[in-house]
Amino acid sequence: MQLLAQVTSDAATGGGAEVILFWVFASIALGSGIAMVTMRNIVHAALMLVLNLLCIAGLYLGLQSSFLSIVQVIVYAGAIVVLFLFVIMLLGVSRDDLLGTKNTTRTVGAVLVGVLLAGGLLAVLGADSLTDASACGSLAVEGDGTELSCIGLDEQIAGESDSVTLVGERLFTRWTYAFELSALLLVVATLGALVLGRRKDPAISDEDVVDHEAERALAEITASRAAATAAVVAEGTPLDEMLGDDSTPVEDHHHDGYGHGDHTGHDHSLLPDPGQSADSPTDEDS
Amino acid sequence: MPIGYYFVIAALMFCTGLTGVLLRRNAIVLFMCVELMLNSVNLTFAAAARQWGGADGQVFVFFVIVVAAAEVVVGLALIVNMFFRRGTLDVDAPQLLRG
Amino acid sequence: MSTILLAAQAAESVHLNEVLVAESGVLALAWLIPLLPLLGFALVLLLRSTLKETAAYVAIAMSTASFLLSVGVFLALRAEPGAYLVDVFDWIDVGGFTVSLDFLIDQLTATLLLVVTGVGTLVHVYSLGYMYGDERYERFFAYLNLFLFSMLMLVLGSNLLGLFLGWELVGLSSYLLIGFWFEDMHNAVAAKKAFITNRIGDVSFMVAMFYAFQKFGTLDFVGENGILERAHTVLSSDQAFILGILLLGGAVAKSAQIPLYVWLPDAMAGPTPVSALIHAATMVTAGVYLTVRMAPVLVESLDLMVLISWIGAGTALMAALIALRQDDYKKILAYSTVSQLGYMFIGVGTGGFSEGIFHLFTHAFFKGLLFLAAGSVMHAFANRTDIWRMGGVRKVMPITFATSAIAWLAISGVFPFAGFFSKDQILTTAYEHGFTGVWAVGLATAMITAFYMSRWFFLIFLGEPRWTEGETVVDPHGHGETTLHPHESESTMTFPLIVLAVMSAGAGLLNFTHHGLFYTWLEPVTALSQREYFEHGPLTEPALIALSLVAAGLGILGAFFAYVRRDVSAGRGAEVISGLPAELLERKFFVDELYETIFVRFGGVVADGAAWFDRTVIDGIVNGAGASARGVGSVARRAQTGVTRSYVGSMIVGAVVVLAILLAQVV
Repeated sequence: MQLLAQVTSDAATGGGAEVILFWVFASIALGSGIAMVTMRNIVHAALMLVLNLLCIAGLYLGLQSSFLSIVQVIVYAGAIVVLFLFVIMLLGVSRDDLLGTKNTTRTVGAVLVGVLLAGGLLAVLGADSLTDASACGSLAVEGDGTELSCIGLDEQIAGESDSVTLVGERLFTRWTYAFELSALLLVVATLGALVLGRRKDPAISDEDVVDHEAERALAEITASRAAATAAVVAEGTPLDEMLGDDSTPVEDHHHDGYGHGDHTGHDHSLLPDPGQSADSPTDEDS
Repeated sequence: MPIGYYFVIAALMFCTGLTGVLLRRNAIVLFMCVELMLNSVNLTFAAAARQWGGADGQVFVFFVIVVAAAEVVVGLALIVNMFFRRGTLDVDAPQLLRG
Repeated sequence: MSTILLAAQAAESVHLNEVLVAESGVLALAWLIPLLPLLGFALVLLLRSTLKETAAYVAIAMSTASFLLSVGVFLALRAEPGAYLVDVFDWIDVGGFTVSLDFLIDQLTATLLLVVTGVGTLVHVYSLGYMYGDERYERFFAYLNLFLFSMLMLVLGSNLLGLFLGWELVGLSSYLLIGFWFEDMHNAVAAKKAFITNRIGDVSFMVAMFYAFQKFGTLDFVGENGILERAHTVLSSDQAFILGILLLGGAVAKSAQIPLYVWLPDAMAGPTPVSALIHAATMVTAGVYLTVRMAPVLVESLDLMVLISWIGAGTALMAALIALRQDDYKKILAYSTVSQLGYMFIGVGTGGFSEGIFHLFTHAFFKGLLFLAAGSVMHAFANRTDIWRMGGVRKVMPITFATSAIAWLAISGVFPFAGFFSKDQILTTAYEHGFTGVWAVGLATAMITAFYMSRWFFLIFLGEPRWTEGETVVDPHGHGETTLHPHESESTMTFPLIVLAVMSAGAGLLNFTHHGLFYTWLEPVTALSQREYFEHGPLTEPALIALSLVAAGLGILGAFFAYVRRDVSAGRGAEVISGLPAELLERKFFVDELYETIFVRFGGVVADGAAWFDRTVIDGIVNGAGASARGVGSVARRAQTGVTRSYVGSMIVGAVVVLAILLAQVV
């Protein structure tokens, strides 16, 4: 943490530490990215992704975004890539046999498109951007020549004491609704994953489970449980002690197959039914 | 450190990820490449936030991460589903949309 | 029109209506007048299986209550004259445009309320006996109540839109009632004819509303911004002519004038009480009411007034001529209604608005009576309607005979029955306002009217029976064969006859002199539309009256010699008019055939052309669109490889292109 703080403060001043930080992390990031794209082993590729993400976290530090840096490590490297690895393990496909495509035209085409786009992007950025040392430079000029107000992140952070505070303040004031929506999005995504991830094996239907013998047995058990509960309530014994181990599966079974009709009332109700307790005095549960 | 360097590295990473998307047929790797592209864009946001002195760029990155997390959850569920149904991770295999 | 003496200013001495808001008393309850029949309609229709025959009494109770309220309104208005607005609710409120469903009650409305509810109630009572045993007995009473409701809405509407609501409802209920026995194709066709003919007028009415709104910015009748008071200042003569002719289009359809009268004679296909209701109290009076209500607009254009008067005169004469040679006694009455409505239009067109309404008033009684009497005869003769197989009915049906005699004298214009006063006052007005030609036609029509109505009366009630007791008749309504045993109708049917007979005999006394009680009663309404017209001829009022009486006498006398003194046992062969004129009259001047040729055939040709256009051009375009889409699709689908990465690739290429364009713009 000491190092982190120092690096951050160095970056803020635009000192030499930032330059070193940038070149180290940038080269590793790019290298690991290329490695990820070309590696045949998927697990290795995923590990390369982790490396890449960590390097980007490092670059965030240079950009005075310590909050993002930490989030990047926790969420991306920690959670998302782990999820990737889980899926790879689950499916048991660590080797990618599909990489060696016979279609060389497509491979060449893919690389060509990538290089072309890179060239285009670099051309848009232009050579000037690399020589401009200031954060607020020639770019910050409007069409009529007036300079834009470019106070730089430093001053903003100085106003808020640190970058985490700044981001937090923005997140909960200006971007509150977006923040709420993102929470909703996560819930929806979770539900979506649940729905999608469920196995579509033919489930045992209710009709298969229903047989009258079981139903009768269940009725007895329910009745006796009610009686037992009544007894317990009368004696003041805690309910948990009353319910034996075998009661739980019965209840589950009941819930799956017989969660309808007039049994439900007895099943979930902890209150005793005097009529039933009178009918079946034997206490099988305890 | 000139901000342009961050932009350049982000652009290069983006194109790397893009090449991967076009190159690889394995759904999981393809997905990882998409993540790479997302991250390069995040880097651009953070760099721009630094350049223009706005914390909003960082907030944007935060939201992109949230969306990416959601996307990964759903996307991986889809991939698992696809694998169970088709027994392959080849994204070229399903061609139901072929005209 | 060189001798126009059009004085724009209304007579100063007349007291105009003040617009008041009805806040208390019976006037504030006026909204109940149409509501009760509506309630009756809903109740009877919903509970008809429970109520069964008591449904009729529910309907009668509602209409009677409505009548009593109308009497109350009349008395209240008599005590404190004025134009009362009764707030009901705001119907349309869009931006600055508000149409409220308020009721307007002035002397004109009150008069029509009395006629509609009074005659309507009598028809209800009459139907008790007449419709007894019909399989849709309850439904009939529900429809009668609906009809009453519709007409009351029409009369009470305080603006054109409210009036139009009732106007449309009247069209609907008339359709339901004319086609009440819809199993018979003939009736269903008649109902459709009535409805469609009326629709033509409705369109005209709607356009009139649009035009009125454009000119006035409101549809309200009364008040400072109302149409009536501002008609003189807002409209030029030409504009008044346009608006008037559009309104007239609606009025001639509803009130069965040339050229849209063709539906009314067919409309007697419905049950006879319905005919009585349509011909006397409701429906056909709507057009006359509309013209009188909008009189301040009509009088702004003298050309229009002349046109209206000639439409009325033409219709009166033509319908009277056709009635001369009809053999179906209901049809004769139907044409006589058209003819009498023509008189009302003469009244309106010659500036005699209260005279027109007075004729409407008296006509409601004697025409209602005539139809109900005809129904009574039909009832006794197993629905036989051929006058040549009647005769001598006076012996078996004395009450029907006596009441019919009064109605006959009234419509023929014999002193002192009601028709004499009202018809004569219309003709007098026409003459005094200088419409001499119209007056002459009206006078001739009066003579013809007396002739054909006498023919109607003599052939049915007088002479020797041209039927035999106990003969077998086939019921035209498909109730099988019955033997003929004519008898006087039961009391529920004769009671309305007697009441109407009293009114037919005595209603004329309400306006015994030309500017009598009825005239002054309506004056606050009609004063706005008082104008001076043309210079009139040398005849004085007594001379005019004498001429009318002579005409009526000549008509009756002629019929007497033609149908009573001569031997009519030969049936139609004994007809006095024969040859080509008879053919012409019997075929109703070939108007139906003419319309058939012009509208139906021509319309058929147009429709055929449209169908061809639809099949070749429209279908061609549609099919061509489909075919071309398929063609494009069969080419474009090659782009869809189904390979996910190729989609990604094209997406990226697109992104690169966009980037390139942006770059080109920056550089």
